Parts: sequence; C-alpha cells; structure tokens
Amino acid sequence: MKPKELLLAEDDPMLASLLKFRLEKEGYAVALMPDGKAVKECIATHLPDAIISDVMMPYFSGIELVDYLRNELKSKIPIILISTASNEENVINAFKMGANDFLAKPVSPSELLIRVNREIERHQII
Amino acid sequence: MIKSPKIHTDLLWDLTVLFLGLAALYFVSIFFFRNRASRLFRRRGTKRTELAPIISNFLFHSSEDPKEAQKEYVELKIGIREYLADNYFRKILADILFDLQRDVAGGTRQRLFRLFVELGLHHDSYKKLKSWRWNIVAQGILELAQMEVSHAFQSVAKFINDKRGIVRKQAELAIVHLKVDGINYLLDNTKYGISEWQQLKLIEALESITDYNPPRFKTWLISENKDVVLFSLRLIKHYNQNDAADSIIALVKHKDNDIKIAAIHCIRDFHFTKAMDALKLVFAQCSPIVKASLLDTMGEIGSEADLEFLKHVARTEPNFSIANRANRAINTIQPDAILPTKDILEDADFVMETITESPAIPSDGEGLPVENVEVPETGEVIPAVAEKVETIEIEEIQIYDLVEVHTQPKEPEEEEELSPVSEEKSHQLEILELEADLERSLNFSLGLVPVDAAEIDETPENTDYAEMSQESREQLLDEMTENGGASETPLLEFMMEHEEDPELRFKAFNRLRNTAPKSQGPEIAEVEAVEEVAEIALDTDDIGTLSPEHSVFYSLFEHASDLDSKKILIKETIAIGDEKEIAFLNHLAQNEGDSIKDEALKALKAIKERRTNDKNVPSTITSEELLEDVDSIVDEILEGSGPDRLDNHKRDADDGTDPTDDRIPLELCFIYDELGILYNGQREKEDLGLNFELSQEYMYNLKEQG
Repeated sequence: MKPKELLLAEDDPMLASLLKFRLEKEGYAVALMPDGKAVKECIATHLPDAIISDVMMPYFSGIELVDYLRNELKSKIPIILISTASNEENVINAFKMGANDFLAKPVSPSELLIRVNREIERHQII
Repeated sequence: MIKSPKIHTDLLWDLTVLFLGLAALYFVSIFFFRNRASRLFRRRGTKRTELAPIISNFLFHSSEDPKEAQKEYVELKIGIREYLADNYFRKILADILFDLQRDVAGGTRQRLFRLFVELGLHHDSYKKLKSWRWNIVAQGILELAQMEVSHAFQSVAKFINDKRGIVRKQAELAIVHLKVDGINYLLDNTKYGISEWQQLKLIEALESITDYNPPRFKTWLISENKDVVLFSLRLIKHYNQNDAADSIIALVKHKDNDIKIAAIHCIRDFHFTKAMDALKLVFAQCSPIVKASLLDTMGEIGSEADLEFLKHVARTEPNFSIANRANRAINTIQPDAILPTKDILEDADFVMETITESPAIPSDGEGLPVENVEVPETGEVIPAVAEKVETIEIEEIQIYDLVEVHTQPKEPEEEEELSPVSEEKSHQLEILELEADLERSLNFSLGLVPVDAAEIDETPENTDYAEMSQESREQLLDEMTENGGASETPLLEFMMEHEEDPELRFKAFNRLRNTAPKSQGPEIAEVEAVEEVAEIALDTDDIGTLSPEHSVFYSLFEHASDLDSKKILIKETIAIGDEKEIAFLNHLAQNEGDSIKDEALKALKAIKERRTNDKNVPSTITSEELLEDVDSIVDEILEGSGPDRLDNHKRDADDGTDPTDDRIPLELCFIYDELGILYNGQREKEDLGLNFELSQEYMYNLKEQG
C-alpha cells in the first residue's frame, strides 16, 4: 500500500527533522521544505495528501500558502498550520483562509500525528 | 622667513610601508576570522543535521519497535558514546537539545530531558557552576533549570544569596523550576531583595508547574525580609488565600508604605471588614498615597457606621485629592450622599419657563379648547378643591378669551346658601378681581386699546412707518410673520390705529389678533383669561408660587436705564401692587444693591399694610356679581353705548392722541353689523340723513300733483 504523502514546511531544521522522523515512523512519506517558495514549487507540480506548514517562513507565510492552495489551485487537501504566534488573529485568519487545523508551538509530535490522521481520514470521507 | 622642516624621504617611505602593512594585516585578519566563523557554523550545521535523526531516534525509540529499529537504536547508542568524549560534539548535542526543548511539548519533551541526563550533558552544566565568571555560572544554572535536572537543586540553591545579582536571580528562578517547594526554600532563605519584575517571573514560574498546590503564604508574613513579606502578600492575593486576616491587618501598621498598600489591597479584595478599626487608626500617620488606598478600601468594605469618620476626613483633610477620595468613599457606601457643589448655581438663579398655550380660536367661535389650570384652593369661597373644570364662553360679544372656573358638583345642603349663576348651571363660581382685567381683556381683544399707546406712538419704528409709502407699508405687513412675537405687536397696533388704508388696517388687525394670544410677554400674558383665573383664585398668602416675572414692573425694571428710574418704579408698585409685586419686590430685596433694597423693603411694607387693610373689606367678587357685570357690558353694547364705552377706554389709553380718531377695524364693523350695533361711523353716515326711500310727504305731494 502506497504510504500517504505529507509535505512538511518548516524552516527550523531540528524541529523539522524531529517531526519528519515521527511522521515517517508512523508510515507517512514526508517531504521536507525549508521555505514557502519551495513549497509553492512543489505543490505546483504535485499535490500531497496533506500539508503541515509553519506560519512564519521565508518567502511565503503559511497563511499565504493556504490562500494559494484554496483560491488559486482550488485544492481541498488538508492543511495544518503550526505557529509560535498563536494569537487569536492568526488563528482566525488561518481558519478564514481555509486551514483545516492550527497547532501552537511548542508542538507535541504525538498530538500532531493524531490531528494529521484525523484530517486525512476526514478528507478521504469527503 | 619661515621655512618648512625637512622630512627625510626614507622616513616617509617607512611610514607608508608600515601603514600599508597594518591595513593588509587588518583585512587578512578579517578574512581569516570571518571564514573561520563561517566554517564553524557550516560544520555545526552539518553536525546538527547529522545528529538530528539520531536524537529523534533516541527520543522516539520504543521497546515495541521492530527488530530493525531496535538494532539501529543500539548501534546509535554505542556510536554516540564514542563521540561524547569530544567536547565539541557534546556542545553541539547540548545545543540541539536546548533548541528542541523550546519547540516540543508533552511526552517528547520529558524524553528529551531524560536523554540530556542519560547522555551526561548535565555534567557540563555543573562544571559551569564552578566558573569564576558570572555569565558562565548563570548559563550553567539556566541549562540545569531548562533541562529540569532536579537533582541539581542543592547545587543551584546555594546561589540564591550570591552577591552577583544576575546569578542570584537565575538561581531564584531555577530553584522554583527544579522543585515544587522551591518557592518555600527561596522565601525561607533569601536575604536579598526581590524586585517586582523578579516577583512576576517567579509567579510565572509557579504558574508553569502543573497541578501546583501552593503553600499557605501567610507563613512568610512574619519574615524579616520586607521583600519576602511583600511577595508573600502578593502571592496570598494571587492564590486567594484568605486565611491570614489577622496577619494582614497587622501589616497595615507596617512602617513600609509598599507593605501597607499591599496589605490594604488584600483587605479590600478579601473584604476583611474587621480591619476597619485598624484602617482608621493608622490613617492619620499614613502618607497621601497610602491614605488614598485606605479610603478606597474603606469605601469598598465600609458601612454606614464608618460614614462619620469619612466625613471627618473629607472636612479636615487639607489634601484635595484625599478629601475627594473620602467623598468618593462616602458616596460608595451611601450613593448620592454627596452631590456636586462646585460651580453649581442655586435654584433661584434659574427661571422655569411657563408655557401657556393660548386656545386656538375657530372661526365660528365654538368648541374652544380650554387649558386646565390648577387653581390653589381658596378656602373662603370654594369650600373644597375643584374637581371639575368647566368653561364659560362669552360668545355673545365675541370675546376671544376664556373664563375658566373650577367648579365642584353642588352639594344639596349648599344649594340654598349659595346663589346659582343660572338655573341651567348649578355651579358655584368664585372669581376675584375680575372687572378691571376683564375690561382690559375686552379692549385688547377687540383691538381697541394698545398695551401702551403713548409709548408705541413714540417708538422709532412707528415714526418710520408713518413716513413710509403705501407700497412699503404693504410690503412690511406682508413680511411680518403671522407667528411673530410680542415685538411686532406695538407696530401692528400702531398700524391698526393710524393706517388710513382700510385694507391694510384690516390686515394689521388680523395679524395682531393672531399674534396676541401667542406672545409670551408679561403684558400680553395678562390678557390670557386662563392666567387671570389662576390669579383670581389665588390664595393671597400663597405668594411663593409667583415669580418676579409675573409682575408688570419686572420688564420695566429690567429696561430701566438709571437708579432713579428704578426707584420711581418701585414707588409706583405701592399704589397698585399685589401678590405679583410682592414677589417682584422680594426678588429685588434679595438680589439688588442697598439703595434698591431699601426702596423695595419700604414698598413691600406699604403693600402688605394696604393688603392687610383690604382683607377686612370683601375683596372677592361672587359669580353673581361677575355675571351681572358682564350682563351690563353686553346690555350697554346692545343698547349702542358699548362702542362708545369701548371707545372711551381706548381714548383713555390713547392719551395724547387725536381724540376724534375713533375709527374701528373693518372686522369689528362686521361684528357690529351682525349684532345690530350702531357704531360711530355708521351713526355718522346716518346723521347725514341719506335715505333713499321715498317719504310719505313726497308721495302725498306727488299724488296731489297727479
């Protein structure tokens, strides 16, 4: 069975590596992207099953990515945003743009895994 | 001649070479160190990238993992032990773990802390504690606290009384992080002050402890360290520990203002009402800022029993701000006990505008609306308070006033005693001093008598009007608004009296009729019958209900230009003054200067004496007398003497004017025609003997001739 593809956009390599390890251990195929530009180039050619993105990244923020996916690519793939700046405005903006979930840093890898599983299952049902 | 000193050329070359060499050395050193830093950074980055999956493997290893993963884990553990001998490697590994502990949460974070200890990285932090450099020591304490190395508590705790402030503060935070009862140790042992910022950081550290059960902080209220006491008070408030009432109340007497204020805030927040006596006791010795807190607290927790103290403070406290706080506290305990007094004018400075709507006059003169006026009870004539208001409309003579009387249903036993007005109406009427006012009302309503004809004739507007052309007069009349106030009345009356053009005169009359009832001036208001009735039925002793503006002298007095004029006016009030003038004179006696005040008092005395004498004489007119008088007026009019009588009034008022000018408005002519009254102009025409009917003598002569 082909593993589910995840795109992890995180500019902190240590955290990215940690999360990638945890998600891969759970059976996902994780593509790591260090910035928003790389993410855009990647999803322009191929859409993963879900995207996990930091909000604050070089070139394009996570919110802009959501906007790009939802309004330009018209894609409905699950997007989970992670941010240190988990203020109300950021969270509301993320959900308004069409993000499926929002996680505040520090992130519990186990919690993230559960949320990713849930969103992918929900997307498959829809 | 001055010559420049000779510089040896070789020296110049030597200096040039020297500076070029220094510049080259400078640039080479920059290049070298920059490249070295970049190389180290890249190397560290590469190493971090290599170590990241190893750390992830360590963090997420589980005994339930497949054999492959178990084997890989064991190999990594063996491999990393070899690397751990290298200080540089350990440093990189520790950096990775410090970075990750900020980004991860939950079980992964706890595993990370365990890994830090298992890899022996905490020993490096211990070594840092032995450094002589304060920044290294502080960094070691921070690392141990961040990685939650709990057995480092004792090592860190000895720094809480370190003379180096940064180390001390780092140690204070660390022991709170490392052990649940670290705060107890801190409060027990610290000898130095704890800054407010540090207190906030400590509270934040306590908040981060999950399932924290705070100790009873009242234990440290007896500390000799004033900052410990202060911090304890804040912690008591933060954790709502209200079991320290006595200690907190005792601290109100502390010599330190900060502790006093903190204790007062606790008393307010916990509503320790038994602290009121202590608060009152210490109040006098407190500084203004403490007094302010005390008063606010008294306002919050005080009762009416404490009002006396607060009032005393408000009266005696020289500091405006504190007195104001005392007043605020009084108002908090007893709302609206103290009302604003600053720049508040007295009631006497205000005049309530009485809006008296004049009744609209329908063209047919029927169904006139009546404004009900509350008339004070007059015990002499009207036995009880009026319960029903009825209106008598004197339609027969087209008087555009309403006489409003208050009546009550006649009781059977009173029917025989009191004469009824008529058989149709079985009401008892009581009207005071009506005759003079009635005549004035009649004359004014009929347009025969201006308010003050002599005065009107002398006004500049009237002089201008007399010089105007016919067209200008018409234009002026058209421009006058029908709703114009009393200011237009004199000119309209002048026009009505002196205008030769009957059409213009009629227009002026109409406008005057529309204007008169709406004007609010004292003169016009007097013709309003409603007000007259109120005056008639007024209890003569009830002068308090009248304002000075009711007096006819008020406006004259206001416009009087000098003192003599004012005195003359006051003297005039003696002759004709009544209740209204008493109110007016009282007003003058209270508000004017000494000379006016003396005159006013004299006049008041004279009026009161005259009124006392008048009370012995019946001053009321019964309804029977009133109607007899009205009947006589109507009879006179019907007999043809009415207009003459009215004209006489008019001539009396027009003192100094042409007595032969007895022309009357055109509308009045029509009224006279309808009533069959012969007015002057008509009589004059009849006096000419123009009769176009053939007389019997002519017919007789014609018959004889024929």
